Amino acid sequence: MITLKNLEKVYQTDEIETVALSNINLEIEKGEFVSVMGPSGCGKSTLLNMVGLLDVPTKGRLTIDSNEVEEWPDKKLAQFRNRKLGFIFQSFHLINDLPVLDNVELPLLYRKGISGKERSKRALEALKKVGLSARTKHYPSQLSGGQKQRVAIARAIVGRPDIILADEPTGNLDSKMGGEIMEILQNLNKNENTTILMVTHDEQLAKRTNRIVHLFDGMQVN
Amino acid sequence: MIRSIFRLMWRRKKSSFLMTLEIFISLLLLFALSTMVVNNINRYNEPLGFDYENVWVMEMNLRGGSHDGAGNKQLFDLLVNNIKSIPEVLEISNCSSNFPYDQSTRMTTLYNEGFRIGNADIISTDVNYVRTLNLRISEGRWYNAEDHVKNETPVVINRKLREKLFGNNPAIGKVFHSEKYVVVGVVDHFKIKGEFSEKPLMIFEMIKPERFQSTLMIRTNSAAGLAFEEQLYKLASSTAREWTIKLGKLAEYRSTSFRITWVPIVIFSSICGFLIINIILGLFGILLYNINNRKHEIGLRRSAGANKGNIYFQFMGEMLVLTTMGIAPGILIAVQFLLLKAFGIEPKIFLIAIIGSVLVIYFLVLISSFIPSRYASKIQPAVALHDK
Repeated sequence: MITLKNLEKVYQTDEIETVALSNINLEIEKGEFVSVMGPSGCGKSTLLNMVGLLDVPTKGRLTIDSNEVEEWPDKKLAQFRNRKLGFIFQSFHLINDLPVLDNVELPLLYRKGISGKERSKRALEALKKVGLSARTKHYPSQLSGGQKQRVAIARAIVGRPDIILADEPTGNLDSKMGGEIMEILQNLNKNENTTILMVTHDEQLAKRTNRIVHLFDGMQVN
Repeated sequence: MIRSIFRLMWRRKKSSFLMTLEIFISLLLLFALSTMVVNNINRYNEPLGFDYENVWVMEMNLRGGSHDGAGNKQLFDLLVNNIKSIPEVLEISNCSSNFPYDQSTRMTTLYNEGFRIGNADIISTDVNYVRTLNLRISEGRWYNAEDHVKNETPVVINRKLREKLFGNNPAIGKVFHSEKYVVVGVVDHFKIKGEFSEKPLMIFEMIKPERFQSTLMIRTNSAAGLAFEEQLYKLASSTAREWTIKLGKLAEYRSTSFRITWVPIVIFSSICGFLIINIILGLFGILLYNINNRKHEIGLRRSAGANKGNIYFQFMGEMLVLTTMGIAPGILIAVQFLLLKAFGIEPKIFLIAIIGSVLVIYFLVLISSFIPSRYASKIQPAVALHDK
């Protein structure tokens, strides 16, 4: 489903050339739950950005669902992200001035042909899945860290994506809340066959996934 | 999408209060300025009612002398005859000192069946005034020498006064103002204070034959220039040695009247201009600041499926909503002026001013939001998400 072949990412400034990723070869099957581990600065987030079509590789080939996406224009990439991908971030990235329901609805705002009523309905369903249906009118500042991340998961799944990309989703949470979030992700993977690529520093959490990819200095080490 | 932007901006109303207030004040100032400008343009486009080109004004100060003393009247008649003998002179007329465009005023309050209908400008003229200023008579005639034998003073009034006094009924031969005046004619228009003034209620009353007034209006052919002015001045000074003569062109009085109208508007426009520049820079700065503070949000929206255009319209939309929040109470206030027909200004002028001001404000907001919004749309999502 996701194929990375000889993927390379180099950040170039006037004076310095930084190799963020080098010669990455990876295949992730549909319904797989893969975790990416490695020390800080090894290129984990860069890898996630490449797969999430938020950044473009310097070299190599990236294929998602048999689509070679490197040459796609901005609009097509955005549409693909909107329909196929869901993102979860370490720092939640909720919009503090919007209530929970509106935060969850966000991806559907960029999808044509969905009425306001339908958006609310789907957002409510997503919030139910993460156990937050009673907090729709709360603002992010009124929620705990775990609740915020559950809102972020609801936002990631509201568009019913095939792939979820999670960048250290438990990084800002204590172990109990981290465990709860991990459980939600595992349920999504098992019950809805959602492919998940998760960056984590936590080996215990990584062990709960199907496969672990190790990165070091921008290269795969396993 | 729009609902989401409205909700977002409503939540941010406290942080954007000052900007909203500035937009609100700017709208009101712009509305006041637009009203003044539109009202003046509207008045300028109304018929003036007389010709000012090639008309000279001679103001005579008798230095305490009487306007009905036999000696002065003889001198006045001699002066008029001498001026008539100059080849360039086509018409000459005597009138009171409140000639067109002059700032001096002579008024009387008029009543109709006990109700006050307003203050009317009165100008005393002789029988030649109609030809000297090319007045257009729409009903009846101008007064003539035979009219002075009547008990009532013969007058010509303008249409506005005619309608107030007599409505659709015949006006010619009617008396008014405690039977002091009898109407012999009606002119459609005569804006004594010039193009930018409101249509007055106007009464032209006939000067009694034994009297004369302090101003002469002299219509000449187009050849009358500096040499004519010098000749006229010398002639007047030599004829009436004791009098002080002041000579000018009616067109020059018109220019002065224009300046009196436009100088306050120009000053007001400058203040508005500064405020508008302030708004443009303010919005520009606020939006750039917002964008830099909201890079995470831009990254998030991009990851959620927003393309560059969506990000561009998000920020443009927010500015338009902020502007709407500022101008909405401004429009409510402005509409009150329209409904109350404030300052005697026609509602359509207020309406044009409201629409114009709103469009100008929106246009300025679009201009000032364009560059920051484009900048936001070009931020790389991966960079935005990991911006510290």
